[in-house]
Parts: sequence; C-alpha cells; structure tokens
Amino acid sequence: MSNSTKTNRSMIGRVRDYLHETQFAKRYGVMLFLLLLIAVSACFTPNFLSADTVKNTLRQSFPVVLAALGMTFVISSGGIDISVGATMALAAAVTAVLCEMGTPAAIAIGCGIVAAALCGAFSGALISRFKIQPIIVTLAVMFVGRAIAQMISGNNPVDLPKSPFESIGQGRPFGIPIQIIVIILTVGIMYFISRKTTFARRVEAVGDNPAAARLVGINIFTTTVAVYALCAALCSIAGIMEASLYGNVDPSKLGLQVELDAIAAVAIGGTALSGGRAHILGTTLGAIIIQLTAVIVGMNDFSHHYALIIKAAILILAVRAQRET
Amino acid sequence: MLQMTGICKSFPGVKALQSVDFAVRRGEVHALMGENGAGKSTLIKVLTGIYEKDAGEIVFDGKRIALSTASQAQSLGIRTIYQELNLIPYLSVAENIFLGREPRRFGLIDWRAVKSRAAEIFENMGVTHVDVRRPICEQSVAIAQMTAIARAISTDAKLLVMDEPTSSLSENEVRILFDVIERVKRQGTSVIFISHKMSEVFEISDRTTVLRDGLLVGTYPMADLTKLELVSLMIGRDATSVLSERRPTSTDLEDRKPLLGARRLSRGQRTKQIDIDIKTGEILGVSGLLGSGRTELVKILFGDTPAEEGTIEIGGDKTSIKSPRDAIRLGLGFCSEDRKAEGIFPTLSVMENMTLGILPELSKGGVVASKKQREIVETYIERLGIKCSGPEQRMKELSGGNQQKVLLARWLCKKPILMILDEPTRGIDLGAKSEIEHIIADLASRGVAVLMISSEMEELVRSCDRIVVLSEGKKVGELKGSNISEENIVDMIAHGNPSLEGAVDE
Repeated sequence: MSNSTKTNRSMIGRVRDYLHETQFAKRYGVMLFLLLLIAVSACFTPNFLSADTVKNTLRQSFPVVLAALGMTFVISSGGIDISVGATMALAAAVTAVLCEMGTPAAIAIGCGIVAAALCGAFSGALISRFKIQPIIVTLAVMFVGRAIAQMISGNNPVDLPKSPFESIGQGRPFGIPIQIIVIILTVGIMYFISRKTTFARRVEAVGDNPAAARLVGINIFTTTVAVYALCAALCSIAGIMEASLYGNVDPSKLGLQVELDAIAAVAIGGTALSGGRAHILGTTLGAIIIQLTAVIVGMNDFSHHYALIIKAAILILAVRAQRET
Repeated sequence: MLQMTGICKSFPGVKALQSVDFAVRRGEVHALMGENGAGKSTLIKVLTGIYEKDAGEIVFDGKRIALSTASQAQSLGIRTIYQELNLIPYLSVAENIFLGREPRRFGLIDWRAVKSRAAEIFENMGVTHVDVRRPICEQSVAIAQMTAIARAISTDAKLLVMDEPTSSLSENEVRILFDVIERVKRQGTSVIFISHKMSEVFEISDRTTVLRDGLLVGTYPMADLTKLELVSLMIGRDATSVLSERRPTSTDLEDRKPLLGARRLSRGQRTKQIDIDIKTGEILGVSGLLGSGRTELVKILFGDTPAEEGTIEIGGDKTSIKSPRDAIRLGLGFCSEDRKAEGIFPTLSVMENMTLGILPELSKGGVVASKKQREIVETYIERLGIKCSGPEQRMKELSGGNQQKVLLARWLCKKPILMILDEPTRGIDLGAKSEIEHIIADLASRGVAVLMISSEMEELVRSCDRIVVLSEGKKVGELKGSNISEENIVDMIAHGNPSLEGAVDE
C-alpha cells in the first residue's frame, strides 16, 4: 500500500469517525437529503422552484403528515399502528352520516374524532392488557374500522354539506391553504409534546425498555392507551379534512394505504422501529420527502410507478444511514 | 504457544492498547486481569480476529499469523466462550455442539452419530447425567456453558478464551466448570480466563497478566501474588484503602422499631413462608445460592410478582403491595440484578434515566421543568462521581459502574425509605464497586433502610448489619453482629440444604 493512499484513507476514516461521533446522519441527514432533493429537482424540473410546488407538496402530504405524527409516538412506544387509514375513513364516515341525519356539523365532527379516539384506545388496551402484538391488534382494527365505515354509510359515498365543510377542506385563511396551517400547528404542538412533556418521556421509556419502565412506576397501560388514542385522533382530523376537500366521504377509498406512507415517513425521520426516542421534525420531513418525490415524478411526466421505486430506495437508504452501530 | 508482542490498537480518541505483550503457554490457565476499560476485551478481540490490530505481531503455534476475521481465528483453534452464550436455545445440546458441521451419512445428517459423539465428549469432560437430546433452553446455565465448551473442544480448540464464565453460575456449578477446565488443560489446551471474582482467579489460574489503562503492568505466576497485591496492581494504588474494613453497626440499631415487617410471604415454589424485618438505617443482607429464592423474595416485596400469601407491614400499618407502583407509593425503591433488561433505558439520556421516577414532582401540568431537572441531575452526577460527557449522553454509552450509579441516583432523588438492591455491584470494576458500597453505607446513615442481595459474600460481610440466609425458597437462618462471617454463611447454606452435594441440575 503506498503512502498517499494510506493518508487518504485515514482522512476519510477521520471524517467518518467525526460524522459517527456527532451522530451526523441521525441529526441532520433527513434535512440534508430534503435540501439535496430540492436542489437536484430545481436543476432538472422546469418551474420547480415556485410557490405552487411548495403549496401542492404540502397540501398533498397533509393526511400522511398527520397520521405519521401520531405514528411517531406509537412507534416510539415500541408499537405500530396499521389501522390509521381505516381510522380516517371511520371518523369521516361517522361525521358525514351524522350530518346527513341533521346533526349540527360541530357535534358531528366531535363525534367522528371521539369515535376514532375510542378505536385507538381500544387497540391500546388490547395491546397492553392482553399482550397481543400491536401489528395484529391494529390489523384487526383496520379490518373492522373500514367495515364499520362502509356499513354505516350504506356502502356508498356520502356527501358532506357545503357549509361548513367547504371552508374546512378548501379554506384559505390569509391566502394559505388550510391544510398547511393545520400541518404547521400540529407539528408545533407535537414537537412541544415530544420535547417538553412527561407524557413523551413515559412513552419513550416504555418503548425503550418496558420492563424497566414498569419498575420505575410508569403506568404502561394508560400510556399505551393514550398513545394509540392520540394517533387515532390525529388521523380522524386528517380523515375529516380530506373528505371536506372532496365534498364527500368514500369509505372504501378514503385513507387507503396511508398507514404505509406514515410508517415510511417515521422510519425515514429517524425514529427507531424498536422504540425509544421520538423524532417529530424528522417524521415531518420524511413525510414531505415522500410526497415531494411523487410531485417531482409527476412534474417530469414520468409514470407514477417510478415514484414508488424512488420511495423504496429512499426508505432503505435512510434507515441504513441512521442505523445504530 | 501464543505470543503477542507490541500490540497496539486505537479507537477515535482512545488508545485502547499500547504496545502490549501477552504470552500463553501450552496447557496453562492464564488469567487476564484489569479493571473495566483496561483493555482486556480489546486484547481478546484482537486475538480472535474481531478487531484488526494497528501494530504488533501475533505468533500462534510457532507461526506468525495475521487475523482479519473471526472465522480465521476459529479455524486456527482459537475459541471464545462469551458471557452471553452463542447457543441456539431451541436446539438440543447435541445439535448445538455440532451446529454447521454435523456428521453426515449419505449426504444426510447422521443423528445417531451426533448424539453418541456429543455424549462421548461430555463423558471425556467428566460431566455425566446430561441429556444431550434436550434443548438448551430446558437446561441449567451451567449445562449451557458446558455445551459451549464441548463445542469448542470438539473442534480441536487449542486455546479457549473464557470471558466471565462464572458470572451466572452457582458455587456448585463453578466447581464442575473448574473440573472441566482442569481436564481440558491436562489434554494440552490453553485457557485464557477473565473474571471479576478474585478467589476464582486464584484457584484456577497458573499465571496472570495484568493490564491497566491499555498498558501492560506485567505477567506473574499466580503463586507469587496475594489477592491484595493483585488488586493493587490492577488499580495502580494500594488496595487496602479501597477494600475497606467492615462498616461499623450503629449503636442504637437494636432499639429502633422495625420499618418493614413481612410475615409468611409465599409464592410458588421459590418463596415459602418467609419472615423479614428491617429497621430504619439498617443494611440487611440476603444471602443464598443462585436459585435459592433471593431475587424472588425482593420482587415480592417490590410488588413485581406479588405475594400469594402473607402480610407486609410498613411503619406498623398493614399494606398491600400488588405492583411496583404500590411499592413506590409506599416509599420503596428497587434496583434489579439485571441492569440491561430491567434497569436502564439504553437510548435515552442520563438525565431521563435518572429522573423518570420523579417526573410528577418535576412537572407542572404535564410539562417538565427542565431547569430544575437539569440541576438535580447535575447534582447527582457530581455527588456520585458519575463519569459521563453530560446529562445528555445516552445511557448505553456509559460503563457498567456508571450506569449503576445513575440507577442508584434514580432512586436517591426519589428519597425512598427502603431501598432494595439486587446484586448492586455485579459486573462492576473494583473502584466503582467500593464507591457504590460507600453510597449504600451513606444511605443507611441517613436513615434509609437497605435490603441488599449479593452473590459475593465478602461484600455482604463488609456492608451488612444483619444477614438473612435463604435456601430452596426458605429462610434457614439469620446472622448478626460478630456472627457475620463468610464461614458462617456457607455453613448455614450447607446446613439448610443437605441435598446440595453432587447436584448439577436444579
């Protein structure tokens, strides 16, 4: 081995050690990747750098962002929730059907959110009390949730009354799409919860080491129930607002496969699927990256199948880069 | 047989080994000694090909070797038996021994040969009564250990590396392991033995090499050293001050009222009709062999596995402890013997690990008062001498001793009235060990009652005011004052457990 390659290697080695020590990939990797994605797209895609692109991307990522924020806490607690899409449909269907029966919109929305939260609490209770694996419990809830949504809506799309749902789905306070405002608010609140509250500390503790959590006196049951209820409540808001955007609820289509994108967003965002630290901002960026790839592919007139393949590659690369050693 | 010279190995920011020489003769048991972080495991990992050395030379069996993978070392006859055994729990003993190199007949596995050859290997090791067809998970830890050794021997291992092989064995099982080591040794296999337990090291080893801070201290024949001399070499200062004399018992202890009194505690086969009394400021030791029901007893008191029968009184009031939350509400604290599985939150910070138990006190409306939290954590880091880069460092990056201090701090900041400690110094190096003993003594002097389990009788003798001895789930006796000695404990265990001789399995 010649001398120059040796110093070369140790330089790379040193950089690698530095990156490793500062946990660079974990902290800034997602952010850098997003910037890189934007930079590359800006070079190749005409009209990419415009307010419309930003608005479209954010608005379309809306349901995934909300579901993924809830999913972040679920995964942080060592669980997983694949019923989020069905929960969206259930909440929207409850709301729509109640409106059809003449219930005031505010009460109907409240009932939709409560129904979803109860569904989540039920999942959490089963998982914690009977020690059934989260993927099984939420798989069951996914089947049942969508079935109930279809049953109560008589298997047909149900229209939502124009008032007030048109402004909920298509409103633009200060000229900004309402979805973007809700994203900013929810991310802010969830970030605050994840950093400052005892709730997040308990959730992370349960996810990191449930046996130890029990022995420091953390109530694992209430924590688990709360985590799944919170996730379901966020999904219900996403479901109702999505339905408002289209003016009707199609219980067989609304929220379909959102769970998969939500899980991918959490994984890209750096929250370990084995539980522990919850990365709210990472999840948010992860969800935006996923949506952005679809937007870019669309703007370049490629088939949307390419978006799926790119999504797959990003998912694997991101998780590999953040791998614990 | 093995000659390692001038071995150097660095990691970013640490020189783990600096020009270390290490030689093992054929058929000797060579103890590798040093505190945690001295470089023992780095040296072993260089030897077994897990780490690549930066400089130095390894000569094995007369040939200079360059190792870059673990399988190379294995094919040369260097075998490691780790603390966490690399066995597959649901396969039988015999299958584990021949895993990956099963004897074949007509291209199929010859199960008859697998079984008979496995049985033969055990016989050669002098271990009888092992059903080689039963899976590992149904066997005792000792048998699992023997299986790992049998696997190594059956591959013609020339050098066995044993890293803390006795940490989860009972006294009796240790005896069997040592017999096996003696036999293996007579057959010309060399053994590198790593253990924290001094008495075992002195019993089994022929020579010892001591490392300190990545440097070689020296290699000595075991017969030339006393325990105290060896410890002094390891810590680099006079050991007499570290392993201090027995803690004096407070004079007024006799007159104090009991803080906790438990009557006829029972649960399953492991805990039978046990009475326990403990006073404020008293350190009560619980002794007994592995499997005597020590851990089960304290887990009953802490409500992790509540009692099926019996009563518990605290401060004269009858209470019921059905869960850890009940126990904590009553002012109890508990550090598990298994730090990794039941103690630490590995990916969370030191700060969170320490304060998870006092979050309600630290928060207002569910929001943590982070300034106050940080103050408390910094106070305890300083008071207990916890070595970490700061409150934000992740728990899994700390050494065992420092993790244990954080776990102690977790309860100290909760200000318990009774602290239950299960093996508080297991797997911790000597410096930290004596510090932890001091913390415990300090707790007692502030009026906290301490209930402490330890497999190391010396430790119990040093620290405890009173010792309860358990055997087969029953309390067989109690020692206090001048009656406390290792001989008396051993005597009591043996007396209460006459069926002990010759028993391998439980």
